[in-house]
Amino acid sequence: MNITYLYYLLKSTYQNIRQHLVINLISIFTITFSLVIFGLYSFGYLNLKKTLDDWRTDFQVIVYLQDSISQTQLKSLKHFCKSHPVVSRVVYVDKNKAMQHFRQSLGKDSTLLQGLKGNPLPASLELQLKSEVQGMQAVESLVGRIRQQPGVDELQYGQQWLNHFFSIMRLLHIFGLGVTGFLFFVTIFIVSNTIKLSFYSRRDAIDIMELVGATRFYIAIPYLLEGLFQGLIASLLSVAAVYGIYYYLVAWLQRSFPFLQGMVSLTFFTPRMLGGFIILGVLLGGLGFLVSFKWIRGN
Amino acid sequence: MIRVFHLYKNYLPTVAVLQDVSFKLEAGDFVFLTGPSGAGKTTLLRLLFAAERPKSGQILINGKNITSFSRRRIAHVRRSIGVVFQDFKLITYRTVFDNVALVLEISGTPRNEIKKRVWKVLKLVGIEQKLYRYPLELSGGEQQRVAIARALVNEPQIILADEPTGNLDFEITTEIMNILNNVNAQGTTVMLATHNQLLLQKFKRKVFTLHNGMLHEDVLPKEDQ
Repeated sequence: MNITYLYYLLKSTYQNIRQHLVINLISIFTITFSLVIFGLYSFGYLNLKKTLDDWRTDFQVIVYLQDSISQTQLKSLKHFCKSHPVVSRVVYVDKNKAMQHFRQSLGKDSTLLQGLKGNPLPASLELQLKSEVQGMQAVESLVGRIRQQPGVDELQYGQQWLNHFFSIMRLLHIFGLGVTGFLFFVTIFIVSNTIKLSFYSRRDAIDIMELVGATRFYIAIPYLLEGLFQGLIASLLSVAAVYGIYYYLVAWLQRSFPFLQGMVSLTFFTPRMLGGFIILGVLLGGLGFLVSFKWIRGN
Repeated sequence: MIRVFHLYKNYLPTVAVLQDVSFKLEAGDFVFLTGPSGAGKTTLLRLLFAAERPKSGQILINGKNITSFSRRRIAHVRRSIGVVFQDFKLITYRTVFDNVALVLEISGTPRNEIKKRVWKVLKLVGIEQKLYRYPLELSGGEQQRVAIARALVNEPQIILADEPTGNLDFEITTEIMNILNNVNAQGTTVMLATHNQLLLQKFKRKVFTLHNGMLHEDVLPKEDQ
């Protein structure tokens, strides 16, 4: 394809868009609307997943040690825990530190501890798990193996909480996949129908072009470009709309629920996600065109 | 130039529109295609520019049988045939210039060349002053001139005109006939479908008459004789 030919295709695209401005605006509005819904859903999903991930970061397996544990056993246990694939961090809390933490947590009531003789609190290892850990099996295998190590007294890891957490995450993934697929098909359906309408309104022009010797390629390319253009504009508009909603939501949360500050923080899409979102919009426009063009050819 | 052999066309299984139509046209021929309404004039023209396919028979344009051509090859054949329709078939959202230029743009002609050729052909049909008007801003006669300009701009070897003067008064009809005569004088083959007997009488040319789907050469239709 030479430059002259490309120029004519672009000119034809421009003429199509200019002449059918209303239909184009309807298409752009439709795609924008679908993308905003999709964007809001993705935004909600992203933040829910982030919050759950944050909670998981706080999750720890605490290994209480026997008072009789030797230095060699302790060293070997630390090494075992550090080298385990699901563990990201190991912190050793000795008996004194444990007491210090306990005092701090009691605050004013720490005077209660004044009559206490000696230090009854055990030393412990606090294990933080990697965020990639996806199921209970990995955690239970870790716990089981630590339990067999010498010098280990007891383990605490909130089994029930963890079970719920993984169930929620699994549901979220399945639901997310389902909703994403559904929204995607609904959007393609709406977009292709809008483009079908636009084809109908230009059927005469398409017939005339065929009669004077235009190939299918020459006729179709301006419509494809039009679809991609609509997708691009719609995705930019929807990003702006979702950002606007995010901006006002954050301001509203800060104003209405100041106590939530620090506990809940909303995140917007990363630049990479935004790029993907815009590409998705452009592809939707193009795909909508392809579906309707196939339909037009069939008729 | 054009050779047609034993052409048959049916729209319904039992209703034959064209039956065993055969004829040949040489370069520079001018022929009227006439016959009563529904005789198959438009169908024959549509078969000649491959807008439809025959039930059987062959159509040779410059020695190539177009009845078996793919869509892509048909598009290329159409560029060597100028077609004028009774209802003009102009794209209403393109200017006069853009409507005529379309044929050249399709074949990738450079822009400067297009400007020159469109201007020249619009001048030939006498509508150069309405270059940037839209079709709906023009009269019927003017729209038909634009349609003729579009058919001529690619300098085709063949012009097929389907009732090009059907909706126009006699004065404009004469002007349009003069344009087609001039083009024909330069060697272009012209086939013009019409049921206007005055036209046949005024411009003495070879006549093909279609009657009950059969083609008769140099015979006027019975009801008009």
